[in-house]
Amino acid sequence: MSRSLFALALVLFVGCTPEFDYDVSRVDGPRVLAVRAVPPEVGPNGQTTLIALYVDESGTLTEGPLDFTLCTARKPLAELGPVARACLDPASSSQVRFGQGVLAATATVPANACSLFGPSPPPPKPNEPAGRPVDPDLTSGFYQPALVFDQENGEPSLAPIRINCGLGAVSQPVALEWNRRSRRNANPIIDSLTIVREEGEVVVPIDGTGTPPMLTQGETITLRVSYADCPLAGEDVCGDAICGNDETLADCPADCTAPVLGCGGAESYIAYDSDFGAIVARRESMRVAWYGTRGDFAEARTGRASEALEPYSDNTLFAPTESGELVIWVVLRDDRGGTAFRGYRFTVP
Amino acid sequence: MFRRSVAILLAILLLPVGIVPRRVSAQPPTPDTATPPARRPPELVEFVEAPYPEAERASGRSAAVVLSITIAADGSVEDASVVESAGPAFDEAALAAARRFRFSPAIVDGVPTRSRIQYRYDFVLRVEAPTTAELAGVVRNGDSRQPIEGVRVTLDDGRATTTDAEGRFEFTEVTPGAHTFTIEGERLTTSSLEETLVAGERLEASYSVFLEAPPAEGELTDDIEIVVQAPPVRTESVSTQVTAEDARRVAGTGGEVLLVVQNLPGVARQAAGSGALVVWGASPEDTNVYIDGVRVPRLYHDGGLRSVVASDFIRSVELVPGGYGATYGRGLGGLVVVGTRDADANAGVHGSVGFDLYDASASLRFRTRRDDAAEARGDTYGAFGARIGYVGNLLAATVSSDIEDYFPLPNYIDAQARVGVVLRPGETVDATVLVSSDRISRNVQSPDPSRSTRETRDLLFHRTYLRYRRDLGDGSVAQAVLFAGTDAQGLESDFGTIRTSLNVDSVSFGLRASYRSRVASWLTLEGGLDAEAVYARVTREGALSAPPREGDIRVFGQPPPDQIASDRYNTTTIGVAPYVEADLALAADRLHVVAGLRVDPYARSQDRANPGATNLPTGLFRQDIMAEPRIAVRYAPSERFATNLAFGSYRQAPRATDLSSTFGNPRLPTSRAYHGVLGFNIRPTTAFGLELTTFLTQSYDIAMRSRAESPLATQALLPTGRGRAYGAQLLARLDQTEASRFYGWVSYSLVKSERRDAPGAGWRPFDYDQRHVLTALGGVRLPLDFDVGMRARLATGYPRTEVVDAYYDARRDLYQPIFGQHNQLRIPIFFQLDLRVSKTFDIGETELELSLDLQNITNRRNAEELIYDERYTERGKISGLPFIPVLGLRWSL
Repeated sequence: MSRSLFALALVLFVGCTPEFDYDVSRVDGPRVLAVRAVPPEVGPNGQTTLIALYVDESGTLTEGPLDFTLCTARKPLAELGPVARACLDPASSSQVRFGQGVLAATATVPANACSLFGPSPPPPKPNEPAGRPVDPDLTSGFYQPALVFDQENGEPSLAPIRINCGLGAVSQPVALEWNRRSRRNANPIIDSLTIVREEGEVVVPIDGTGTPPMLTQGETITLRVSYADCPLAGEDVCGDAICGNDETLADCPADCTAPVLGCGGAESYIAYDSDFGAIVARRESMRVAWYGTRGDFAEARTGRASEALEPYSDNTLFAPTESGELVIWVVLRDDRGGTAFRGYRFTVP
Repeated sequence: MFRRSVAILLAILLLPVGIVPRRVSAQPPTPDTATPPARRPPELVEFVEAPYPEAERASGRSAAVVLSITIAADGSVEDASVVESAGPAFDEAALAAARRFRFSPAIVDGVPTRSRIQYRYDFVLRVEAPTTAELAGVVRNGDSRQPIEGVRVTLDDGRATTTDAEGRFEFTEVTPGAHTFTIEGERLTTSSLEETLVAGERLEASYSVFLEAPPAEGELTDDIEIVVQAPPVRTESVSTQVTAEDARRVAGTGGEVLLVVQNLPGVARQAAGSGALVVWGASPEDTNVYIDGVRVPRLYHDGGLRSVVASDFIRSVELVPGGYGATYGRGLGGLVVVGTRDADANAGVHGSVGFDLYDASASLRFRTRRDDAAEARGDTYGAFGARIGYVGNLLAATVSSDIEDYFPLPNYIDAQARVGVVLRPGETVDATVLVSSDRISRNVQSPDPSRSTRETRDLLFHRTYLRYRRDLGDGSVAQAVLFAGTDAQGLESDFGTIRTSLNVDSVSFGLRASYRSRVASWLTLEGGLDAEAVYARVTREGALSAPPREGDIRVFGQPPPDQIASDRYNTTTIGVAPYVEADLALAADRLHVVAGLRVDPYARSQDRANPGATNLPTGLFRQDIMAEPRIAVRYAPSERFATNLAFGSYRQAPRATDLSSTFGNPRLPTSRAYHGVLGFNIRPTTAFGLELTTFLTQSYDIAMRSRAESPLATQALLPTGRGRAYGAQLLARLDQTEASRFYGWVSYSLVKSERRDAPGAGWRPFDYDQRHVLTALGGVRLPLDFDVGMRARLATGYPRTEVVDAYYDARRDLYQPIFGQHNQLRIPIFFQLDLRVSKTFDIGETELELSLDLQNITNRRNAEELIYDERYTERGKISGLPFIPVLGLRWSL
């Protein structure tokens, strides 16, 4: 059988998948695109403000019917989702409301958050054994479930808050190393969004801060979102305003004197590798979600893997073929729950 | 048989009537009397037996004729007349005999004298005393049940005969007592049997024999057989058998013999790309696969396209969906027993090569014969086979790189080698090595690093075993298999930055030995030992729910949770199970009761029974023992009808991967199950049969995920699960015969399999519950060595849990599904029609077969899985194989 016949037969061998109409990037109604916690990581009893990016086809909404709650229900092992099903019910007794009919609200992380959702042994419940703490994520992080409910349609959005709980049951040297080297996560920061053309890059002003750039109908452009270029693990430089994992207050007070600042890009951080029982250095990957009211993106999501060094991510925008305004949103996320977002407006004459 | 009775001289009336009116003695005269006595009555010295009259034989009555006999002075009978008649026939016979009597004359005063006496002649019709017996029988193919013609049967008195076209033979006039006779013939190992014959009786028996591989000059058909047996009553149980020749011709299998098992009743249809064997609603992990008594981790390669052992290496495979005997254990579900090919009957070398769309294969087997050896003593034999699958590599090389997005590409290799020696006729020892390797990988790149996925699954296993078998000739068989093996099973998956890793490296050793003896014509006993030790090293990393297990509520393609853990530990499991089984043949072999008992002690040690970061003790040792009774009853009042009943108790140790202190529970007990089977078998003709089997299985202590919010650290799994499956299967089958070119069968299975996750929870459909499976297949041989076959399959889809809503996870930037009731949705019904055409060419002493397997000729887009859009607002399906032509070539020597 010839190679072409083989190829034909093999193509036929492959199963088919359906094409869905849903475009995750298209904004055609009120919708929560992201929730940013400021600061992105707090300890028990700590306070953080959750800010929702709530949009519709007209642009970013400044007012919104959103309710904010903290959920205190632990997730049974048999439930494979990220939170207990009770957390999705706004009327559940497990909800602690901290904001109503707003787009931003400040939450106080419960004192027992590390027992309920962290590495500390959970409190025993009647008729249930106590024991198993929550497993961390790949970044050794734990999260207090927080929900944002849209009053209009009742749709919940999960916006967990990263809580600083330590590592739990580890050896003393590991715990000491963790306490010495770990740094709380910092939210990423979008430096700019630029239009990349052969003749050069054009910075797109943030929506509401300047004149929207013009796109021709049906134009294909490359958009680039840029963020801070963070030092790699082991390459900390004292004086760069970033307190790296290997810098201390003693050897670099300039960087590590409170308040300690993080880096607005792909940060280096340490995590506990339970398989080897040791602290390991890692670097965040960066993910970008693209949304728009019109036009199309080549990719709904882009980003950079942890090993990629470029502090930016590109996407292709196919401008609408009809005149009008176009609003796009860029949401930048790191691996540890940090979030940044911006809205941009374009004009298509 | 009637014989003339001897008319005993009841009385010679010693009173001579008239002349000598006295009684006379009936004693013979005393010879050489020195002095003759003065008086002496006549004495009968020569009796003549009168034949029982033929005219009266039908009546069978007894009769007496009283005669008056006049004896001359010389002792001769001068006259005879009837005094009391018993009828003309009796009278005539009595007179004729009496006239030929000789007497010693009466003595009066020392002188021989003429005399007259009365003589009563009795006639009694009696059965002739038996002095010989008869032996008759039918010799059948033990697998196909077809009679075998031309088998030579030699009795120990030197007589020999050959079975006729119906497999019958007969010996008459055989001396009663124990006799040994031999059965020998082409492709038949000479067997010596013993029967005890009773004088005057005819012993009729049926003898099942198994044919060896065909001689070199024979047809290229072989003797591989697929046997589906439910229950596994050893003697003539309800069973379905398919010859390898027929199996190879089944459309849609690409000529792979063992794939025909998937079309037999009780077996669920495999999802495309899956090699899982789901039998009677049992989990694939609960059905054990044995090759020559050695347990192997799977029957099929990944993708389900090929078996792990090449067809040319296989003699038979027996699929027992449940209710099997005491020989096997350590499993809650069914049983697959693969027997490899025995030594060829004749010396020579044979081989084959073949390739098709999926893979290429080659095999070689030989038998040498020493010229100076008596019989087969010292013969050596061997077999080698290898296969390499290239469908995955070809796809990757010839088709676009995104082919792996939704379809894992299988790559597999298997190889077999065997060398053996015939120690003497019926006694062999051989060494075998089996190797199988599977690797499936896919790598889906995405501009978003959190959506790039990479997955690799490997399974490499090998088994080396030494096998000894001795056929003692009287039906007794001793055999032993000593084996060692390694398994290396790996799963590596990256979903973005979320890593899942599960590796199990195990080493196993075992011994399976048995001795079967026919203690009496009505009793066969088998005793044995099934020992197995497995050392497993497990390393695991990832989310608790990755990889998913049965009962998990999830959807296809759902990203795994990003909360991760890890564990590594070693376990050693030892089981040494003696068993005994008795087969009682009662009611002239019409009733068989097979009763067995298996005692299964179990010990397990584990070096890490608590999470490593804790200060709790780390080691664990557990042991228990359980007696497992098994019984099967088969009643066959005629060759046309049989019914059977079986019941058994079974157990299964927890899987090594479930014993993790982090992901599972190191203190899991063994799971238990009970099987009950009731079946009927009707065979109106020798070519057509109908089988109906009903069954019920109940399982206990199945490991399930803990439903608690805060379970103990070592109790992620709990033995709270229960399972039950019940249903019926029907098989109507037409065998190919000399008179018919057609063969085929229709099978239908109705199976309901359910699970209960915890006490108090409701029953839900089992993840592998496939309610209805209907398969129809058949074939016909055409002139010019053309062969055409077809197959049609209709099956219910597996259950799935419906997604009723979703919510946005802003941290991970994805939607999470909200599920409805557990497993209340089903994948749409599957239907597929396949056609196969082949043509055979004779090239010298070799044979070339070209085949074209047209799979899914209607190009129906069957749903294999349900899939949702990113927001879970729309549901679609992943369709399986479209129309696919598979061209194959096989050249055999």
